[in-house]
Amino acid sequence: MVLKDTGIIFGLTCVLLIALLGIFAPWLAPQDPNSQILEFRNKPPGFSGDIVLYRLAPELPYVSLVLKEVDIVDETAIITDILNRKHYIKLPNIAGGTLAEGKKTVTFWLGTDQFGRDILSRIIYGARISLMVGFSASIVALVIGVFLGALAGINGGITDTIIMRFTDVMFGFPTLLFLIGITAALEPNLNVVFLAVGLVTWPGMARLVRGQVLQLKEQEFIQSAKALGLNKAAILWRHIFPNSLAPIIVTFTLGIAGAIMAEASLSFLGLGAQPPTPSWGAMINSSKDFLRIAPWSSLAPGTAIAVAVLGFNILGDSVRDILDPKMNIDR
Amino acid sequence: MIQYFLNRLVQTVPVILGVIIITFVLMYIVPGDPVVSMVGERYNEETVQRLRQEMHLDDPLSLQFLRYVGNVFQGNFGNSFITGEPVAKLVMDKFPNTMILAITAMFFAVLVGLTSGIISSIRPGSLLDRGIMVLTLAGISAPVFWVGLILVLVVGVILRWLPPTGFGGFEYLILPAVTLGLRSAAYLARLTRATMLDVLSQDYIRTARSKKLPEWKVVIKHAFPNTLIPVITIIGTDFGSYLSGAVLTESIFGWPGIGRLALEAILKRDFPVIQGTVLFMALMFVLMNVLVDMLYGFVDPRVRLERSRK
Repeated sequence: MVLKDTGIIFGLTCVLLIALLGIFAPWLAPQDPNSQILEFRNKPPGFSGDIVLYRLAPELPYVSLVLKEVDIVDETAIITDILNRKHYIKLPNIAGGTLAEGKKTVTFWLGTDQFGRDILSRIIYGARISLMVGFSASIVALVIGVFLGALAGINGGITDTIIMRFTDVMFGFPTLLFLIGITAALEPNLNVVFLAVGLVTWPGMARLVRGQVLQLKEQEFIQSAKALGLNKAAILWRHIFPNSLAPIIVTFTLGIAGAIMAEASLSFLGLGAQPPTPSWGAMINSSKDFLRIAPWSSLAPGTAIAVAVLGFNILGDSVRDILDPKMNIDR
Repeated sequence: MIQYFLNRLVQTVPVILGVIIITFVLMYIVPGDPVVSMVGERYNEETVQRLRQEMHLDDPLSLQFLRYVGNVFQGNFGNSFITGEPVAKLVMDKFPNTMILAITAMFFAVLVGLTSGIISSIRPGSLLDRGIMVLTLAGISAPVFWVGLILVLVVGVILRWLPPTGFGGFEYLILPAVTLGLRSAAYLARLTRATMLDVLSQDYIRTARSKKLPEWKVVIKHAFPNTLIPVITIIGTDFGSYLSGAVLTESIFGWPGIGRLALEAILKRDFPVIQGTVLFMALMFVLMNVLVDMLYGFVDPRVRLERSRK
């Protein structure tokens, strides 16, 4: 493979980047992902403007006001906003107590969406959602797949036949359609999405694990473990599982890429994360009607999805290439 | 040969049955009473009771399932909650559109995938090869709906070469077909490259070269026929899912196929249509897979022998 040497570095970089963004989202995001500044709707990347944070009374939360001019008379700030309306705000009600403290210049490095929300902050928080859905869905698939695959492989006979026929049926059903069916039948939200993705994608893992068990079962060290009187569970756990860990990890990593894509697709169709959740797929869904006037609001989340999926795919592929150079680059 | 085909057909029976069970269960787990979602919030008890009886909703589950299977085999998928039209008719109205889109997309994928794969394999490691491989990786990882939106923006809105969305003549077909086929094209390019590299290092190619055949003849006449296998693989894995509803592509381009029919039914919570379209698409998917497997057996005798031995 062409990218063999650089592949693992590139894949790891993408995955680590997404992971760091997701984990440290509250510290990295320049703004609250859901706070709207309606005066700054659909602003292009790099746009910056002045705002004042204030509240009408001490018990109310701070709101932002986009300002054009400001005058201070006695203890009151007279703020002219961009629509030339005048606001009279007492200085103690401005964040920090003085105008110098409350006035901020905000820059939207990736622009804003149709509600005046900062796209960069939403992308950063979106990493969190993609990662969480990707991991939890893959863990669901891992648990079911390893359990059923091992059960089929170690027992053989009728158990094997039933489980494998079942995986055939699951494979017979197109994945995205299956997911759409489940999320349409239930309430669309992220918990349904990760469970559905896990419940639909386990057969790949089950086939892999079964194959591993069947292959290892006949080897001498397993035979001798059996002769020593170890029971099936112990053989599975101590001998078969550690020896099949590598392909399981590869499948798991590729599964994360698939799950991230599935979540994005479902959210894009409106069957996943619901507004205002900053899921990348949902972001594209809600901003696609503004493609002509604000293309950046769909371009940024699309790039983010591509980078995340590419990262996990390349990582999985290159780990597999390293483990088994004989394997081709087929899917 | 016939033995292999028969075996393959028999194997699909449990799969088809499983697909029917899954669609039945999917609609059974829908929260809320289907009759209530049919008549709306303000209903009177009598109507609900009458409808429940008409729809046999009070029967035991097993009887309901048998009746469902019976209806499906008679081609009766129920009627839409909203328009009252038979679901089978709705599906059949939209299916040709999906078919056209799927065939065009596959044509594009095979054309582009094969060409770039072969170009890549002629000088492995060259700048061109690396470029193509990076592009294919991007093509595999970029979300379909996003690629579609970019095409709409660049080709449809900025350059105005093609109509961005809608349905009509051939010019409306190009963007959705490219969007739908791009992933397959990328996969096919990689598979073709791998196959070609494998083939080009074999003895009979060396023989061909050593008798001073021109290089293009070696590639086209001796190596190229081997790429038939990856082509069938791609058609096999992807064409079924195209037919089973290119839901994402159809929703971006407003293409009136069955994928969009299903999605609209979902938004309106029109359950018989959802159930019918999902079942139909899944059956198409199963059917396509069988056909392609048979094609494999037809093209490659090794497959036939190995599988009938099982």
